Amino acid sequence: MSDLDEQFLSEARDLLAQAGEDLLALEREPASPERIDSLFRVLHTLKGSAGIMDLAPLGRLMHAAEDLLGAWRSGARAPSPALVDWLLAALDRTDGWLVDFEVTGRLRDEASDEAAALDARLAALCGKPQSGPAVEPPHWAATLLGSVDPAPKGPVLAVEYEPRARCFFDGDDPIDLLRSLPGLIALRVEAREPWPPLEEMDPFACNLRFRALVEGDSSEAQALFRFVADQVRIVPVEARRPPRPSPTHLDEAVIEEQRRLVDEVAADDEAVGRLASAARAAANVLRAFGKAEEAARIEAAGRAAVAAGTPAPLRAALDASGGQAWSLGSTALSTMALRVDPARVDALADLVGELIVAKNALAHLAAQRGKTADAPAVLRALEDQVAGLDRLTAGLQRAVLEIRMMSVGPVFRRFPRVIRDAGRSLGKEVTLILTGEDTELDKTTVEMLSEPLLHLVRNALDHGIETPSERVATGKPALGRIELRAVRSSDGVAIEIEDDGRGIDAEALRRTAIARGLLPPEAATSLSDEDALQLVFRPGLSTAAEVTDLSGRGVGMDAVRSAVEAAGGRVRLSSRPGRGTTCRLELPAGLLATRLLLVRVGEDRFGLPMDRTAETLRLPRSHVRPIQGGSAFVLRDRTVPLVQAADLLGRSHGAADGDPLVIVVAAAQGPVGLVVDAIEERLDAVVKRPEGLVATLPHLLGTTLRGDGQVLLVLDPEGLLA
Amino acid sequence: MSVRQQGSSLVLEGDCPVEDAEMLADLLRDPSIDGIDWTGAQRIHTAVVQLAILARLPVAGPCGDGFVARWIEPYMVATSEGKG
Repeated sequence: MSDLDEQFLSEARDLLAQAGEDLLALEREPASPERIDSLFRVLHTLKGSAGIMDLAPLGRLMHAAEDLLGAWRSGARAPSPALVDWLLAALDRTDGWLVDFEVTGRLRDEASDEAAALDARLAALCGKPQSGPAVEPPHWAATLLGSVDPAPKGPVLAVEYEPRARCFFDGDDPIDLLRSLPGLIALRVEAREPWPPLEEMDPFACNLRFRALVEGDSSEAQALFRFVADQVRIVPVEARRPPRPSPTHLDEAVIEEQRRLVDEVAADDEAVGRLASAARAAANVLRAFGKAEEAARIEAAGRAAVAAGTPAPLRAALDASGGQAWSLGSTALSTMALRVDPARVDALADLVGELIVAKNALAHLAAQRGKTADAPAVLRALEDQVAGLDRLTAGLQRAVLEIRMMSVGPVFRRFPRVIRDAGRSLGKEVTLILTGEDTELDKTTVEMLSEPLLHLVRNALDHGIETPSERVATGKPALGRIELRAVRSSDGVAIEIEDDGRGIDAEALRRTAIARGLLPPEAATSLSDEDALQLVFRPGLSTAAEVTDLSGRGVGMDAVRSAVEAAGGRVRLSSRPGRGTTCRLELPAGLLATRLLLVRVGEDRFGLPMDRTAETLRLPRSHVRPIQGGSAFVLRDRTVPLVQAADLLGRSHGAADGDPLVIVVAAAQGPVGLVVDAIEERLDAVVKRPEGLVATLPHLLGTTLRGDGQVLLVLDPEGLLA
Repeated sequence: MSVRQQGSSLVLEGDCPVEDAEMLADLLRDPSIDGIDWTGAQRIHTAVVQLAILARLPVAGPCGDGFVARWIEPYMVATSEGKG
C-alpha cells in the first residue's frame, strides 16, 4: 500500500467518524448550522478524495449525499429520520468500501451497483423517478425464479442476506427477520463457508446465507433490513432475465458459463459431479490461454468444493478469476491507526541518543581491557554503565508503551449510533452519556474493548432499560439513561457501563445456578448478593431457558469476561433491583509488567498474578476441616474451601506432613484456598499470551521468561478453580 | 426445557431460543442420535435451525414452526436423503 493510499484511508476513516457524529447531532438538533456545515465539509472532502483516488462509486455516492445536504441547508427539504437513515447507510457502505480498499487496494466490483442502489433508494425517498442504469441481478436469481410456480406477475426482487458470523451476539435472528419479509416467493438457505465437523462447530457462529425472491417493491424490504443493511443486497429482477453483456474474451465467456453452472448446483443434488466438471472445464480453458497458475488454483478450489460438498470454494475461485464478482464485502477487521503526539516521538529519539552514548562508553571500557592495571576501577565503571543502561531501557520501554497509548474515544463514539438504531427497533428511548473519552489505554486493549462494550451496551438497552410505559409506571422518567464512562483508577483504567433500568435479581441467579448444577445449594445460598451477581459471567448459566428475565444476558457475558481477562483486566457487576445495573471493567493502562508470585508445586514452579491473590498464610493443620469429600477452613468467620494445587495441575503431592501453605485466591464465587508446596519469590514480568503448543494447556494465563532464561508458566487462578 | 433426548431422537418443543443452540450442539455430538423431531416446536431461532441443518439427520416433520416447515425443511429433507 502506498503512502498516498494509507493517508487516504486514515483521513477517510476520520471523516466518516466525524460525519456520523454530525449526523446524529443533527437528528437531535436539526437546525444546527455548525453541524450542517461540518457535515457538508466532510462529504465534500470525501468526494474530492474519491476523485483523486479514482474511486468513482464513492464519488457518486458522496455527490448524492452532498446534494441532499444542500437541500437541507437551503431549506428545500427538511431532515427526516428516513433521510438520516439513508445518510447513515451511505456512510456504512463507504466504511465497507474502505475495508475492501485496505485489503485489496481497490473497491469491490459491485461497488458501482451499490452506489446506484443507494442513489435509487434516495430518489425513491425524495419521490423522484428512478434514474440510472438498472442494477444487474445476481446469477442465482434466474435459477431460483425458474423454480417458482406459478410464475410471479409483478416486479420481483432478489434478496441476498449474509448475516455476520457474530450476528447472534448482536441479538439478531435472521430467520425471524425473514418471517416478516412480505411477498416471499422463494427462499434458499446455504452454508456460507463449508460446514465444519459438528464437534468443531461454534453453535453461536452463524454460517448461513439466505437467498430469497420477493414479490413487491423494494422499500418494504429495505425498511425491514435497515438494521442489517451492510449484510443484505436487494436487486430488482426482471421476470424475463435480460441477456448479460457478452464477455469480450472467449476465456471469460467459458468462465462465466462455469460460474452459472456452479450457481445452479444446490448443496443437495448431484453436486459433486457437476462441481468437478465445472472446475475441469474452467481449468482447461485457462490453461489453453496460458494461465496455468490460475488453472491450478481453480482445480484446487474444485477439489475443495467437492470435498466439502458445497460450491462455495469453487465459486469464490471463479469469481476471483476476473469478470463480475458477487460477494458481500470483506468482513476483515480493520485495525486502528496510531496517531502519535510528536513530543512522544521526540522523547523516544532522545532516549535512543542516550543509548548510543551509553554503548560508546561501554565500547570504551571494553577497549581498556588489558591496557590498565586498575581492574577494580574498570569494574566500578562497568557497574555504573550497567546501572545507566538499566535506567535507559526502563525509560525506553515506558516511551514505547506511551506511543502505543490511544484514547478510548474512537470506540466510545460508535455507541450513539448503536443506541439510536437498537433503541428505535426496541421501542425504547435512551440518552447515552459519554464521559472520559480522552482516557488512554494501550492500543491492543482499546481494539479489544469494542466487542465486549457493544455486548454490554446492548444488554443494558435490551434487558436493563424498561419500555417507556413500564418506566413511567414505576415512577421513573420515560427516557432511559445509559452512561459509558472511562476513568483513571489507581492501577489502570476503569470503564463503567451504567444503566438506570430494572436491575438484576441476585436471588434469581442463585436459583438458576443451583438448578443448572453450577453450584451446590449451600454454596449458592452462602454467596453474598454481590458475589451472586458475578455468576452471570460463568459459562453455562445463560442456557437456562426457564430464567426468562435473564434470557440473553448470559450469551456473551462469559465472552465479555474472557476478553477482558485476556487483556489483563477484570470485570465486575453490581446492581440494585429496580434501580439499575453497573458493569465495571478494570483494565491495565498499558502493557505493564505484572507482579507475579513464584510458587512451587511438587518439583515445578509456576507464576501466580499477585493481583488475583488476596493473601498467603501458613494454616495450622488442626484448622483444616473435612467437608463434603473435600476440606475447608474458617477465615475471619467465612468458610473457605481448600484445594490442592497439585491435584488441579495433575502433579504429585509434596510431603503431606506439616502445616499447609495456603494462597487465598479471590475467585468469582468467593475466596478459595490453594495449597502449594512453597512460595519462593516475587517478580515483575511482562506476561505473554500463550501461543502454539502452550496455548493448549488449560488454566494458563500466559508465559514469561525468567532471568535465567527458563520459561515460567503463569497460571490463571480463576480458570484453575472454575 | 425445549430440547430433550427421547430414545435415539432429539425432540424440539415450544420456543427454541438462541440459548438452546449450545445444548442441542452437545446432544448432537452423541453418535447414537439418529433423528430430530420438531413437530412440537413453535418458534425456532436461527442458531438452532442452523445446527439442525448441519447435523444432516433425518427430520420428523412437518416442523411446528410454520415458516421453517414451509421454507427450510424441504431443503433439509433433500440434504439428509442426499447424504444418506
